[in-house]
Amino acid sequence: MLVTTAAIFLFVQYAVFVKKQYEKEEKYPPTWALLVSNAIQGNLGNGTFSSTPNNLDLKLLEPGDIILGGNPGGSYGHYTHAGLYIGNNQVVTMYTSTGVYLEPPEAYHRYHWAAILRVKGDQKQIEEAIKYCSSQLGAPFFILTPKTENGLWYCSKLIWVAYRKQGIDLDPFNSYWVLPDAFIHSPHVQIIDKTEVA
Amino acid sequence: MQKHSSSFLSMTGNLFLVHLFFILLTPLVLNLGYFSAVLTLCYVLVLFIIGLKRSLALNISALKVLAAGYLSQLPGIIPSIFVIIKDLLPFPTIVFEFLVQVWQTPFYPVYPLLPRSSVADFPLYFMVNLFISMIIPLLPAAGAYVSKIKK
Repeated sequence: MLVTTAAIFLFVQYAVFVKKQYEKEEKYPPTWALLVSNAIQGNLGNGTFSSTPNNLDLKLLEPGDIILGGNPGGSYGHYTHAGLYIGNNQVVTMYTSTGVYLEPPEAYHRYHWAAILRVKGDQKQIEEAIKYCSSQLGAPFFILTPKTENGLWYCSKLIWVAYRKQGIDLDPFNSYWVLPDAFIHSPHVQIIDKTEVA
Repeated sequence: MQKHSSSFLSMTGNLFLVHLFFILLTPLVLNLGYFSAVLTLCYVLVLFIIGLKRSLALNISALKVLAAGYLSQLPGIIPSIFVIIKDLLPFPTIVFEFLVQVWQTPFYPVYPLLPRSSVADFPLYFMVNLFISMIIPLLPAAGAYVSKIKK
């Protein structure tokens, strides 16, 4: 019991150390170090939402765009949530208790910071990615699922898989999980709009 | 009396540790796709066998095995109650939803096989998640009951 506790303590300290080292070098930390460090600081879930809306320009959205939201105190990085805009004022996304579902893009105004990303793909790739995401409506959400499994989803994994099936890998970090932050660091996207609450 | 309570706690500990073991094991097999559902079936079988064998070894009744099962499932039962009554609570229940999800990890391999329907505003898989902790203890209790009949 003592050995297990000591091992967990050392692992957590190591994760915090690794995260700090990467941040010092202005590099994005490994996903495991980021998640462990945030969890140990009590940062769980999507963090604290903003009481005033951000001014993300939703008129710029085109079908196939990725929309990101993030809050202070979130566990998954700077951006803690991602959705895929499929047109008709609908974003495919998911939460623990909803599974894959549709929400309006206005929901992203609640975040302290938000962004719209356009994937550098041809029309066919984008249409197929939209079709794939839409085909998963109602499928279960599970945060511990590896990104290479198909059937259980979390928000950024579904988008990653949908575009990967079209030959576009949006994860430059290549880790067990693909977090929303990966998309904004991907060379395969163009940042259309980026905002944060003052 | 002391022997009875230590047998009860021993059974509770066994069921709790087996559940933790399957939580750790499940993410490792999820890459097997639908075959990973075999692990969930193994877990169900292990629970039944624990009830069957350990109730004889510890000499405790099926009812006590059932109580031990519910005690071992409290980390799933308590957050589930918070989620079910979330409309009555003055604070958000997102952390409890997260805890239920992680605690019920051993059952996630079968959720993609469920129909994608909703019950009372929750998707079916999440509804199963909320109530499965109430059903799991029936398995070792059934094992214990069978062992008593055979005896």
